Amino acid sequence: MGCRRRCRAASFSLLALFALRALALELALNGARIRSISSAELSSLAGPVALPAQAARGAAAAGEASLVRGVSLGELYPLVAEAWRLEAKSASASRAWEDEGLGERLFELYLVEAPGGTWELRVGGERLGAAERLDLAAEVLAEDGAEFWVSWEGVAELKAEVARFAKAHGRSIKTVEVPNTQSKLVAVARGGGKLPDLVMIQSDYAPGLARMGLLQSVEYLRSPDLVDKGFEAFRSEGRYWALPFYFDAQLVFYRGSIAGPAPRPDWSLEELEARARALKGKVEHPLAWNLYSAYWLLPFAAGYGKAGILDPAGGMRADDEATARALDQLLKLRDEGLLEPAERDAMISWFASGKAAYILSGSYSIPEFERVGLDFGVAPYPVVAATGKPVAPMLDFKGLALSRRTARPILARRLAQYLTSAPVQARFTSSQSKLPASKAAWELSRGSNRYFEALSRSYEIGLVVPPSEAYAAYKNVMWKILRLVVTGQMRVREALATAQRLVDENLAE
Amino acid sequence: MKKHTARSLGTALLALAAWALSAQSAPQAVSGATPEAKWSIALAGARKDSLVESYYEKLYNAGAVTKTVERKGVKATYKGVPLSKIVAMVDGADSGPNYAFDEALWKAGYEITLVAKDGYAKTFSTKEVAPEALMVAVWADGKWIAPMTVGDTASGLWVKDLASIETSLAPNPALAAPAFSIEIEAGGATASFTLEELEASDLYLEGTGSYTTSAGTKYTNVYGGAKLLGLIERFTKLSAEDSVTFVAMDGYEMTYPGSQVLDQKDGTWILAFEMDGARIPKDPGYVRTVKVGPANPNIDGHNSVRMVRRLVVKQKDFKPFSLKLEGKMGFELDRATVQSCVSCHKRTVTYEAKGKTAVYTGFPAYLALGYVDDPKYAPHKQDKSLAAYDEAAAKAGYKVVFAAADGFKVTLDSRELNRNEDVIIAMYKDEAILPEGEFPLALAWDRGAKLVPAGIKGLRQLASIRAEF
Repeated sequence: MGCRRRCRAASFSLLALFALRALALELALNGARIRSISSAELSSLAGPVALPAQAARGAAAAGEASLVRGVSLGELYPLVAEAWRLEAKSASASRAWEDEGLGERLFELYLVEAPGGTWELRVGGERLGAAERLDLAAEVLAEDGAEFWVSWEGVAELKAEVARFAKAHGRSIKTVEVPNTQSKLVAVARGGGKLPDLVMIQSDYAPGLARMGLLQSVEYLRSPDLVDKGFEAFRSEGRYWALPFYFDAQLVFYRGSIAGPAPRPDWSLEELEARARALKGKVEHPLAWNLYSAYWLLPFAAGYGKAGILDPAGGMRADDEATARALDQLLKLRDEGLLEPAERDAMISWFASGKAAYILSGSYSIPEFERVGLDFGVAPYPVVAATGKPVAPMLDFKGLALSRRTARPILARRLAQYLTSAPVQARFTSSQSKLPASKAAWELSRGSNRYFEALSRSYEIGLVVPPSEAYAAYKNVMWKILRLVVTGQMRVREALATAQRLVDENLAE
Repeated sequence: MKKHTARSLGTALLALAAWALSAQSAPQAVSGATPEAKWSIALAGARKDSLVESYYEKLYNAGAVTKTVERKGVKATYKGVPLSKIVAMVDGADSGPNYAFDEALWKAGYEITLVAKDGYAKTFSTKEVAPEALMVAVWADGKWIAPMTVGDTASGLWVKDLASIETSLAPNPALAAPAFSIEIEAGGATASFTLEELEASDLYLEGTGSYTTSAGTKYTNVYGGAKLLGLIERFTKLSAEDSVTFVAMDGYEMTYPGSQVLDQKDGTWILAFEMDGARIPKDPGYVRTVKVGPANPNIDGHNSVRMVRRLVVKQKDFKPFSLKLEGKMGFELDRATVQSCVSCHKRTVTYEAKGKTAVYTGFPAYLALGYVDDPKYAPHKQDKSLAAYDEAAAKAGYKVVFAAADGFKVTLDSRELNRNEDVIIAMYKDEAILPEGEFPLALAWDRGAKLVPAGIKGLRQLASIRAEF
């Protein structure tokens, strides 16, 4: 009896040990085992991952993705300079992938959690269930000691992500907050100082920094997971100068308790006007936004037929008919007492205090309003019924650019690949209510982001802030000219003609 | 640089040379294939050049090297030209065809950036890599390859499809700070100074300073620039009665009385061209006036002149004045404010009186009404989104009384002044400050004015404007 019990217990322990061993994954590099990871450990590292429909068994429809829990090989393996072969084995099968560019894809290859505590390897559309051993043929990256300049919102969260990457790979990476990365890069380069290896930029920084030879082009890093409009945001002289990281979109914000029911996503400008008219006398400013800025005017010009922000020759037209029509219409709303021109601070303060029912602001305002507990909703920009075209929100991308003079280009690239990978993008952008540049990260936020529909529609109809010095000149000139128009000191067409002359003069300098 | 033009001959020679080398050094066959396309590598250093196939062939024939390295777990043999032979083309000012490699300079250290056609770029310091460690190869295991760097270094320096080799010896004109000089006219002399000259001079000073805009926002920064008084005193002794006029790049003008420049109680006036360690961009720089010092002096925003291009010191001609404005609010505008108004809203009219014509410059008179037509709002005194001028009130009509210092008065109707650009408050006559008898300000109108307000008369020595509702 006692022996039977002991024997049973011993058999059970053996089985459990066998099961545990079977559930452990062995990672090898160039044929040599480097670590063994238990299923529990993998589970603790895993996060939500969206895999493309073709890779997902039984995905409902094209364009949709399956949401699973997984961890990328980029996070499990040491950083590599390059990798060219991956071999995977399960108890019953083995597969191998040979690809010269495998090193660039490690953050896109996942081990995903499968039933029974097993892990399935996903390589693009291919898979190997219950993986037990992976062997990567690769050269380990020797680079260390990188510097990364960060800016804009979410610096603390970004620093935490970089620290996580650095710790996981045993690297030293210094993250420095820089208020204006463009001017600091230029100043440091002029002074012969130490430049960063990786730097955050916005789209209109790209042409100048590229012309000065401070950035390296990143064609070789173009990933199908990153949205096309994001790459366009950093395209100058036929090359791409940064990996798109995240973006903000302009939205209509409304006070739920004042403005009434949420508008439909395909609503019209005329409907917005009618809603404002119905609020006249009930609220101080039915509509309020910054009418002095071209950044908020251009979407309306697009709605009235402006074909694109830049003209085909790369210049800016201020005196086109669509801009004039848009401005005429907005001034009519102002004259009717529906629209109150206001700069950001005044507008936000009216909105918060209930003096303004509808305002135009960027998605960056969402966390701010949520933090103060405001009852508000967001809607995508409406369509101009007369033209059938949408008032097209500006999409303001931030990107990760590699210094042309870096001694650690691959470490900088791996960090950029990590930061633009779907799980990191989903984590960072959801904490900041930004929009991720990664398509897979979009999928991850589909269910959890209550603004998803408005934000996706904004991306679909939005215009990218162009990476152009002409745009910067235009914006500055219009800032002065629009004030004269709004205060009645200049007539619309005369003002736009003057603006055009000044833009041309600026660009000719 | 000597260039071979017969490509086919050059390629054949190179193939022959490669075959010969290969035959000597390793028992492997040369494929005999020709490169798919002509190539060149841009070089930037003490001079600019490009390495073309024909010159590469010459270097190759004069001393090709072979290196066997392990890549992707496999040994491969590369043949090519030492990188140092190519860097020699741009590491000094010497001209070809036989460039001397400056080994001492290499060992002293400079940066080399290797750039691939796809944009990948890697930089290394020459101090950390032996001159002979890297080569630019075009053969790998007997087959043509696009030029790449390879050798006895970490593989990070092996750059395939090499497009350019850039060194830190190369001046980068795109990076150069814009050439900018500031002019000074003082004590009968005219001179100009570059920002570099001012920075290197004993006039250079750094300190903290602030300015507050008319809407109440205060900006504090660390500025660096040339001491204004010190600069002026290189040409003339400044007295309290003198004036210093700043002319901006966009035509804006502002005049300081000498007393203001001499007043150093709370800080030092400087012509600032650096802010927080970086050059100030064109707008609001390249030069702006600020006051700095340990006490963090705070000046009015309109006294911080932006984009200064020129300064003119005039001795003992600065006469302060003020213009009194009364109505729903009251203001007394000083000379600097009036001059600022002229700079921003400049209007020139041809005024005719008693058969004589003269050109008067000032600002449209209706703009002054913004100070007195509303009990709450006035120009530059609130959020910019609020209009300072009440056009509706002007259209409704009220009396505007212009009074001279001697008591002479002209009364006009606001409806005829509203948006009337042809009736001005003039500060200049024929481009000079108004003469004695008309100074400081005058009411004038264009002889071709579309609307000449009823009852208007020439008024000199304007002292006040009163709005009567």
